[in-house]
Amino acid sequence: MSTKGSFIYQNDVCILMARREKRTKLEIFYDILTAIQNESSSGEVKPTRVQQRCNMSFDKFSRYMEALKNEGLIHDSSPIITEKGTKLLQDYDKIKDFLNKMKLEYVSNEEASHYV
Amino acid sequence: MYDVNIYPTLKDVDNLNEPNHSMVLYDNAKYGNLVKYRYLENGLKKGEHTIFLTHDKVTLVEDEIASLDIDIDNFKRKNLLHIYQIENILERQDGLTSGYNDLLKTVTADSKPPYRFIGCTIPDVSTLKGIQAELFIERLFHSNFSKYQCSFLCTYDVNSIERTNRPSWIAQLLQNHHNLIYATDPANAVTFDPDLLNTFQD
Repeated sequence: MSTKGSFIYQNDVCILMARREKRTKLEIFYDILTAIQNESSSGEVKPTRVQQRCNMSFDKFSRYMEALKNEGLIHDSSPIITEKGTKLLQDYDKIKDFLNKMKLEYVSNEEASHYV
Repeated sequence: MYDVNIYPTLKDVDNLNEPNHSMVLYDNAKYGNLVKYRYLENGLKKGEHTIFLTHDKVTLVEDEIASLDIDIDNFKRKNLLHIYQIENILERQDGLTSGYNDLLKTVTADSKPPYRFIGCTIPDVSTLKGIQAELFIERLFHSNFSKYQCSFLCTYDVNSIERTNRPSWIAQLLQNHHNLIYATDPANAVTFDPDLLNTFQD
């Protein structure tokens, strides 16, 4: 058995899916982008304020901000949301709806342990 | 080229990074076709050798392409558009890997890279054997993607995927593609990178 991201594999077969307490990249990106969006509506976006809004440790926040830059969701030089980032915010509900419709809902650790 | 206002998701198809291994998952053939043939037309307009794989008659695909005002004769004359009715490699005695490699060799015989493929390899993914074979091929292709010098849009009708374990099959398909285009009604259609559904590695 091995884990790859939020998918659980056994004998190279994916069972499904994530540990509930561990959020997906989608959820983390959405939370940070939303925090940036909210901050920007009240003026200059200060990373420390965004970090506080997201309730994350500095290390994790820095790492996720770097990932957001690498994905082109925020600008390199400052925490301003790009066009691609805006689109992700707009598409978030559609992606969640898709996951629900396809029954790709997350299962808890306890439920997942039945498969492994 | 038909207007993106007809189906805004087509804009996402136009913006796919190249090269890519993408999948369209559709619950309505009309929307699925819009995505498939937009992807096809984009390749043709870039001068890529564009190869459509079908299990139906070639003329059926040609009629569908023509109905979207794509100049099929022009692209065929330029030797860019190739439509193949492909064999069922599940029926081959020498195994899936060999069957798949032979298939790719056959359909690219008259072309040169970069290639653009559209289609689905296994004709019937509603059976356990069919979907498992399809997933085997998807994994094989995705893990060796860079060596194929191509873009590939894999096409799946949601309702044709094996029913009893469908969520798991879809999850596995997602893990083996760079992009998902969910082709449903315009208000709910969406395109995203399935890697977003993974967690960060600690």
